[in-house]
Parts: sequence; C-alpha cells; structure tokens
Amino acid sequence: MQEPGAWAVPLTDSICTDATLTGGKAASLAVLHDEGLPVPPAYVLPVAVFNNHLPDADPAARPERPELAPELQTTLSRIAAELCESADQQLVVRSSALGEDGESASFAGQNATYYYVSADTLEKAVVDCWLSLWSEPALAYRSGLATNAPFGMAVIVQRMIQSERSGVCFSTDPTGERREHALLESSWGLGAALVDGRVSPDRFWITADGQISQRKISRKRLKVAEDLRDPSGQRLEPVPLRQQTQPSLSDIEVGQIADLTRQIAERRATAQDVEWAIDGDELFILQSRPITTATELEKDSPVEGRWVLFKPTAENFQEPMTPMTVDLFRRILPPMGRFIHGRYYVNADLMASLLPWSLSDEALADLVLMRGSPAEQPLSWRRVLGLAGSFAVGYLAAGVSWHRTARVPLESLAAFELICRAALVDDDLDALDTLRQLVLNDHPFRPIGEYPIQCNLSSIRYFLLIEVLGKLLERIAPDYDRVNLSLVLSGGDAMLSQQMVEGIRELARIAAKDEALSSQMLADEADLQTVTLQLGEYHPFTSALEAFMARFGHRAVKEIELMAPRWREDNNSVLNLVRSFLSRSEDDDQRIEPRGRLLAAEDELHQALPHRWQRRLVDHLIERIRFYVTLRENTRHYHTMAMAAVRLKLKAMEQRLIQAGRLKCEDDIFYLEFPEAKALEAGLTDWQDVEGVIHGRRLRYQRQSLERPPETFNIQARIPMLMPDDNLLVGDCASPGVAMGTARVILDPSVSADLATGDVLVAPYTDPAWTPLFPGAAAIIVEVGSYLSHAGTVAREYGIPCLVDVHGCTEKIRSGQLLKINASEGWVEIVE
Amino acid sequence: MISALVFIIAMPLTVYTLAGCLQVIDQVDASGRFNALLSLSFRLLLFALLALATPPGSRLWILFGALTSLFLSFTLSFAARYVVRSGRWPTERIE
Repeated sequence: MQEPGAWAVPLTDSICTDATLTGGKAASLAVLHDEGLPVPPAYVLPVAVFNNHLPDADPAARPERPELAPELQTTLSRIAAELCESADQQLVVRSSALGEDGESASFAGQNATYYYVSADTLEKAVVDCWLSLWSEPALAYRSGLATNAPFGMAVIVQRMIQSERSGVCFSTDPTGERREHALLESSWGLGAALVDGRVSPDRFWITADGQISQRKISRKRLKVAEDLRDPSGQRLEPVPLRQQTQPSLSDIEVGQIADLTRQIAERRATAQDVEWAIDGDELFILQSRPITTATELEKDSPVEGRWVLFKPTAENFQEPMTPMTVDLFRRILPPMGRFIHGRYYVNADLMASLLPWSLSDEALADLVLMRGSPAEQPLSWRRVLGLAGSFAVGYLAAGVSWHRTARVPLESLAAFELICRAALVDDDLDALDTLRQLVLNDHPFRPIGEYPIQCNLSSIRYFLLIEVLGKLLERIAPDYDRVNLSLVLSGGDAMLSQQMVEGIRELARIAAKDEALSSQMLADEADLQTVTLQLGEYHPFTSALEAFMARFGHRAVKEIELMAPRWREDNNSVLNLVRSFLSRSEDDDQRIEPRGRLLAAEDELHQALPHRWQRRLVDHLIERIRFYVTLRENTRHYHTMAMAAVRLKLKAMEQRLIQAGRLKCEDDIFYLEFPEAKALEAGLTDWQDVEGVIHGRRLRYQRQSLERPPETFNIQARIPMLMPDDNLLVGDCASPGVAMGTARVILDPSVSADLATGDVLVAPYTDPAWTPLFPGAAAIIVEVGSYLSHAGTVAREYGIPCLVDVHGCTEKIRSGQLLKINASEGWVEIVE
Repeated sequence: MISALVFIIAMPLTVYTLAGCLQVIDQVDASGRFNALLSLSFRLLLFALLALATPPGSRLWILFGALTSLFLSFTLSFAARYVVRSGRWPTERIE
C-alpha cells in the first residue's frame, strides 16, 4: 500500500487545480476559488488516498468495504473540527472522480453526494463516496461513454451551506429551444431536489444583456430541508402554502447569478452548468461543469413510423405525461396511437387509410392537427367504397350507443359519481382495475348516462352538425353573417363548467361581505385551510366552500395527468380563482352579459330566414348542437372523476410502499410503471431496484417538460405562417369578435390567476380548471387549441373573442402590453 | 333483389330500434320515458311500414336482417371492448 503524499489538502492549495490528482469536480472548484468566486470552504482527499485504500481496484467489480487508515481518520476529525464552526454545522461529501465534470462527460448524478454529514458520520460518508464508483448508474454511464479516463476518485469534504434558496444556472438553454439565452432554475431549500428533479423549479430565461425574457414561476410544493437532525426522517418537507407560488429569486438576484454564470462560461470558453445556493443574502457557487448530453437513462429513444400529435390532449396540457399515467392509459386505449416521449400521437398511416381523400403528407398532418379542412381535396372513390364497408361495420358495433346518447338526460350522468365511490371503497380493485372498471365496464342494459366516456365520444358529432348548419345557411341565407353563429350555438346554463364559475363567483361574493376575510385573501396572506379553520364550520364561506368542493373537488389543472393534485387535496388553485373574482368590482361582474348578446344573435338569425320551415330546421340543428356541446363539457366533468379515483388508489398504494420503506418520496410512484409498482408492493423488488429507474425517468420528465412537443414525427406538417411584422401574430378563430385590452400571460392558474376585467388572457393551453378566468376577459389567446378545444367552447359560451393555435404567444407577448385582437380574421397585434 | 334490399334496410333499422328500446331505460323521469316510448313507437312503425311494403315472400328477410344485425351488433361491440379491456394489445410507448 502506497502512502499518499497528503491525506487531505485545502481547496485553496494549488495542487487542487490539477484534475489528474484531485478529479474534475475538485479542480473546477479550486479554479473557481482562485478566480475569487464565492466557493464554500472545503478539503480534498486526493485520488492517491483512494488508491491507498483500494489498490488495484477493478472498475467492473465492486470491492470489499475498506478500513480507513488511522492517519486518515485523524485527518478527517481535524477537517470536521475546522469546517464545523458550530455544533449545528453540517458537511457535504462529494465525489470528484477522474474524468468527472469533463467536457465530454459530466457524470452528473452518477457518483454520490452526501448531505447532512456530521463529524461522526464523515468517515462512513467518505467510504460510501468511493464505493459509489461501482454503483449501477455509474457503471452503466461509464460503459456507455467508453471513456478512457483513468479510474479513481478524490473526495471533497465541504462545509454545507444552509441554503434557503438554491438552483442551477445554464449559461445557454440546454434544451436548445433558446440557445442564446441563459436558463436559471431556482427553488426553495437545498438544490439536491432540483438535481433529482423532484421539484418543479422556477425558471428564468435571461438574454445576453441580462434582461429576463421569460419567467415561469412554478408551484414549489416540496423542498429539501435545510437542516436534518434525524437522519431517518424525510428529506423533503412541504413548502408553506404562501411561499409555494412566490418567485424564489428577485430580478436582481436572477441577473447576478446569470452574470456570474456567463463569466464562468466565458473563462472556460465552453457552456457551463453552475450550481449555486443562497444562505441569507450570501451567494455561493457550489460547482460548475460543462453542459453535456443526457445520460442513457434520460435520452429519448429514436422514433420510427409516421406520427401526429393527438391535439385534444395537447390542448389541455403540453407537459409530458408521467410514466405511470402513460402506462395505465396505454392499457385501456385502442391500439391506434403511440405514446412518444410522454405525449400521445396518432398513427398517420392508419389515419390516411381511414380517410376518403388522397391527402398529401402536409394536408394529412394538418387535418389530424385540426388545422385544415380536406373538403377541397379530391375524393378517392375506391376509398369511399372501402370506407362505406368500414362505416357499416362501425355502425353495427357502435350505432346503438351513438343513437342512445342523442337523448341521454344530462342529469343521468350524475350516477357515475356513485359508481366512482363504489370503486373507491372496493379494496379488491387496484388502480388499473379501477380505471378499467370506470372507463370500459359499460353494459348495454344499464343506462348510458353511467358511462360518460361513451357519451363524450358520441358528442363530438356536434362538429359535423356545425358544418351541416354552415352549409345550409350558405344556401338558404347567403347574406347572414355567419361570424355570429358561434354565439348562437353556445350550450347555455346547463353546462357544469359555467356552474363551476358561478360557484367560484358565489364564494367571492360571500368573502366580499366579510371585510376581514376579503382583505386577508386579497393580501395573499392566507391559504384556504387556515381561512376556514379561523372562520369555523358554521361560517357561510366555509359551508359554501365545502359544497363547492363536494361538487368540483375532483377537478384539477392538467386533470388527465394522474400526478396532478385535485382541488380537494390542494385548494390553492380555488383560492387564486376566488381572489381573481374578489379583485373585480361588482360593477365589473354585471358587465358580463352573454345572455343578452345571445338573444340578439338568435333574433338576427331568425330575421335572415324568411320561411317558417327554414327557421324550424335551423332551430332544430341549433338545439342539437347546443345539446352535444353541453354533453361534451358535462361528461368531462364526470369522467375526470374516474381519473381522481384512480389517483386516490395510486396514492393509497404509495403510502403503503412508503410505510414499508420501498419508496422514499411522495410522487415517486408516478415515475414507475404499474407492474413495477405492483412488484414493489408484492415485495418482489425493493427500493434499491427502482431508485435508479425513478431517478432517470424523473430527470427525463423534467427535461421533456421544458421542450415543446414535436407536432409530428417523420411527416411534415404545415409550418405556421410567419408574419413579417414581429408585433403581429396569427392564429385560428375559435370564437369570433374584436377586442382590445392589456395582456395578462398566465402559465398556470394554480400559481397565479391575476386577471382584471378587460384583460386579455394569454395562455399556453386551457382546460376546465381555467374556466373561472374566462368571464371578464376581453379576449383569449391560446398557444395550442382548436375550434373544439375547451378554450373555444367556453369562450363561445361567454361571447368572448378567442384565438387558438397562436404559436409562441406566451413568449412573444408580455403581461402589461396592449393588444388588439381580431379573432374573426385570426390575428392579434401587440400595440405597445 | 327485393329480399336483399329489405335485408339491408332491416339491419340499420334494427340498430335504430334497439337504441330506441334502450333509450327508455336511459331516462330518469316519467316524461323522459314517455318521450322515449313515443320515439320507439315511431321506429316500430317504420318496421311495420317496411313489412307492409315488402312482398309476403320476402318478409322473412326482414327477420333475417334484424337477427343478423342484432348478432353482429352485440358481437362486434363486445369484441371491440374485449380487445381494449383484455390489455393484450396495449398501446406502445417510446420513452
């Protein structure tokens, strides 16, 4: 056994800058220190110490745990005493492997970092750190890269920063979407949560001149504790509700961190990923390494075949679905599509074979993306004959349901709630059984209202009826301005999403009557649980809230995603919406009068039809369209109950697994596939078997969440029209009209819902949880949507102009800008 | 020729009438059930008219059409549900 030259050297020692002696990470930290950057004090155990304890170690075979040399034990005690100024001070032990943090290989997350290390546990942490070189992810990573770097590891023992805020700053956006921008991610507590991908961080994109070009404040529900006295305790702790939606950094701090990161990148002449932390007002740089490509576990797999994004899902949320959601859904969907990188795509070749037109690739992609009508394309009669046969078979298989749903009483859908409750209390049903039972277990001799998904699928025919009505009016009333038709076709008061809005409005009205309550809510100082606890159960607001939650508590933002917490579990979204109504005056509320506009539009239509039979025919079509529009919205209210029930089953399973020690953190279950979770529950596998898988999938999910989903794979879609004027954006009309107002960009209503009456809502997408923001908006602009999307349907209800498929609107438009919208003609202009 | 024609007409008419029957159990109140029965009687009337318009020698084909339609309707809808419910052909996914 060779004696190392020194058992430990301070980071300030020049030897530390030699990566062949102290590994890539320590060398990088030492250089940062030399450059005068604020690096926490640390000592490095050079690679020679590793070689001393693990001589002739085989990179492919994990060795026995070594005993520490007495000299090293003494050195470690001395280091702990020096770095820990007080009894509360803790240490962090980091790997610094040879080749780590190099330009070709970052080894990010492959070797271990140990937080909360005390003087007593330091020796163990050092040995664990060495042995992490043989962990499965590290071995897989090394073999995948086929790196020729020598094998060995130095260890950094550093003072642990009690970070109140921490994160990562990339000198250039690593997703490649905005290469010229720096991307800063930040959250509360320790940065380990960010590295693990367990927390959705706030994100800031910063231009080269230090301006924040875009910010996305996320809901930060969890943080890594700054202090951990009980090592067996949960590392993650909940963030106080009030803090969850607050930005974790001020604009000045964002500028400072981005500036430091750019300086480091310029000195290294390569793009850097800088880990930072703030303790009090003091900023620390924890490490800097070149941005490298994702590991094997996180890489996207290549895609074969021709696929087009399934628009109805993308219209509700653009983030990928978690592996658990994908795995459960793929077991109940007909094999007509494919989940690619967490999003659902339809098979373009299959669609082409089902259509009666011979379409070009571009026209086909446009049709599936609901952007174009194929009506101008020539019919292929051979296909028409083939399709007639398919239609006949389809009619025999589904015709009965199709006809039944035409007269389904809307109130009969409520029976589904009882079916969901029965499934929830049935312990024999696991999450997959529950999903199958609630979605697929229809019986022909039971009322069809008990199967809202069937009703929902059938209700899509309103789109065909709208086409028929349009063609009919073109013939019998050519002078009628069909722009107003959308208003006439709105669903009316029976729509549950409208009743949801009324429920929120009622909560706001009750809160407004109690001055103390309304000022508390408006001051952003309350969470709903605290408010109701203070008020007591007999206060009208508490009772109204309970009634609202009993009816709408199963709803959520991104409600198709099983990981998304429901309003009942996490009522901050409801609080934001109530607050949004509270901030508007009663006068503003009264200005919203869609009913009067609807009657006027109906009257205008009748006057355009001279004959009684024409009016009767048109009225019949309108009545049918209104019925199906309402049916579509209301069935969604009910079938999302199924999603809420499946989520509850999964959460119960997760609790059992956490109690058994087979899962460590809340929401980890959503990064497993269902059979993997079942195997864990059955004891066939353990935490060690799934830890790496969860980690890799979580990181991939985080990265994919940052990327805009490709609309197609291996088939070319129409490139959205680019306007010569940067201030002009174009989109498709979902609800006609003209408006002018101040832009309010809202990315997530559970984080922020500050929308004043007369503002223009600019959103990436919408789902029913966004509905309460609609009344009072002057117009709605949505990045992804279609005529059939939720945004369009509800905007028509309220008679609000709505533009959908406005590419890049949430990036190009900034809150506070004045916008002029002509939804009828499909454009929006940024006036100032 | 006429037999084939009535056979073909009877098939969708059966689906339409069966849906009419089941619409009665879909209703939640008396007035809804009354309307559903009214609608059902209209569909049955269509069947009666078809039978009246069909020469006596071909009337049996209405029955064949109805039975074939019922058989295919139940078989196809159960088969479609089986394909999905069995989970044997799950939708593929690419991570």
